Amino acid sequence: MAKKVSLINMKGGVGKSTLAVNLAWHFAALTKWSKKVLVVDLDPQFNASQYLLGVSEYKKIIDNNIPTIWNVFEQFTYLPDSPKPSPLEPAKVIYSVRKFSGGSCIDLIPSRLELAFSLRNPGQKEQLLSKFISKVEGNYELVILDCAPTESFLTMAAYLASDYILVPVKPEYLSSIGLPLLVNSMEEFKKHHEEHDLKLAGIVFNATSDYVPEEVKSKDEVKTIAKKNGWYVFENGVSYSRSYPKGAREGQPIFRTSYSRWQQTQRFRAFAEEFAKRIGL
Amino acid sequence: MKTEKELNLLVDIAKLIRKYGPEPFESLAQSILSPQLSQDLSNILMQTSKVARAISEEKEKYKTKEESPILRSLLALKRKEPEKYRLLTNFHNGLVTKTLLPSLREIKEFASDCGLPEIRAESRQKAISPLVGSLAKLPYEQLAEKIKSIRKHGKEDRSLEGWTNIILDREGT
Repeated sequence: MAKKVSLINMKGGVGKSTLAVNLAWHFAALTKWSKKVLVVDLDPQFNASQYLLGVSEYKKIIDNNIPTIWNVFEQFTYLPDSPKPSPLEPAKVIYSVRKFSGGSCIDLIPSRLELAFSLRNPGQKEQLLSKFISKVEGNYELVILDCAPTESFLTMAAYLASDYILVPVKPEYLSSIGLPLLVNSMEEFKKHHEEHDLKLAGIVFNATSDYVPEEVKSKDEVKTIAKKNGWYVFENGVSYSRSYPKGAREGQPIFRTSYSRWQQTQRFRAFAEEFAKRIGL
Repeated sequence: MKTEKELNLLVDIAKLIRKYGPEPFESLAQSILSPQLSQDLSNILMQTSKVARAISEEKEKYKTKEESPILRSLLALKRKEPEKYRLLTNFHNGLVTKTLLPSLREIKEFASDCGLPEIRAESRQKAISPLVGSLAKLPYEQLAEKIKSIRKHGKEDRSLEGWTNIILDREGT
């Protein structure tokens, strides 16, 4: 059974997609782990798909009408002049991004802008993702869901499909306010889905630089609230580095980005290892 | 006139006469008539030619020594598996001309991604041979897939313009 983790925060721009892709690379490419990883891009802004695929590969998906996460949610939507809807074949939606030695891999369920249109008509669609993932999770050891920064049926779908929630937080005032919003949403979900054992893997400080006073203050505040509520805060934060955006441009993780600093790479590695321990990977 | 080379030499001499004037040449012609000078010149030319030949032979030997294992294994494929030979030869040429995997790091990462034995070479040039050697052991279909994956990941378009085209084409659909 795969470990299924949603990266989520109601605040945008906290580095969810960057962390999701870098975690996928870490566990698939490093021989120490060699895991089969599926990345599910749940954001209509499709940043994870952009990072993992690049323009031409993504264009092929769109031009050839290859199914995306949109099709997962709309597989049973009846359209006039179209054949009767039938369940989507999982293999058609899963796109192979990389294959590594020993059979490990990064696969992707890409997203597309049209996913935003599904939000207008949520129906009972939130169940569809977990049902879909249950059909394929046997092929993977880790499933990473990269979520959109808004509360919608997509958030609900992510909760239902996940075992854990990982919350990246930028140590900044507005960014940290996203945290109680998220926990509130998670608590609401748990009230209505007692049978679903959704755990908070923890809060990770992203893009830290360690010595800026505002940053220190924000971190302290988050840690205090976390302690009061029993939320885990990762000891290893992910430091700010220009190599992350550069890596996204190159389609590479931090540890393969040209001229990335060893120290930054090591800090990400330390976080990834702590994350693995937390979710029992 | 016997050969084109001799004709070219004569043209060069004529140019030199124009450059230096006829007197130095007449004086030099007198000196060349001396049998001793002819012998000395001939000896110098012989020595130069021997050294040049030796250098060229050494270079050739070195080149063969460097390339022989990989060339040998490619040639062996030519008879047994011509398709695989063609694919690997093109791949090898791409590596040599740096159109494929232009850095040592990319070669090492590619080997790792393909599950090939680790490339321990410390220079790009030295990494080519073990990489091609390891790939040669793969079945044709697997080999083709691996090489195709380089093209897929090698020159990805990640430009803002590319994404803009995709996003704007999709708007309102």
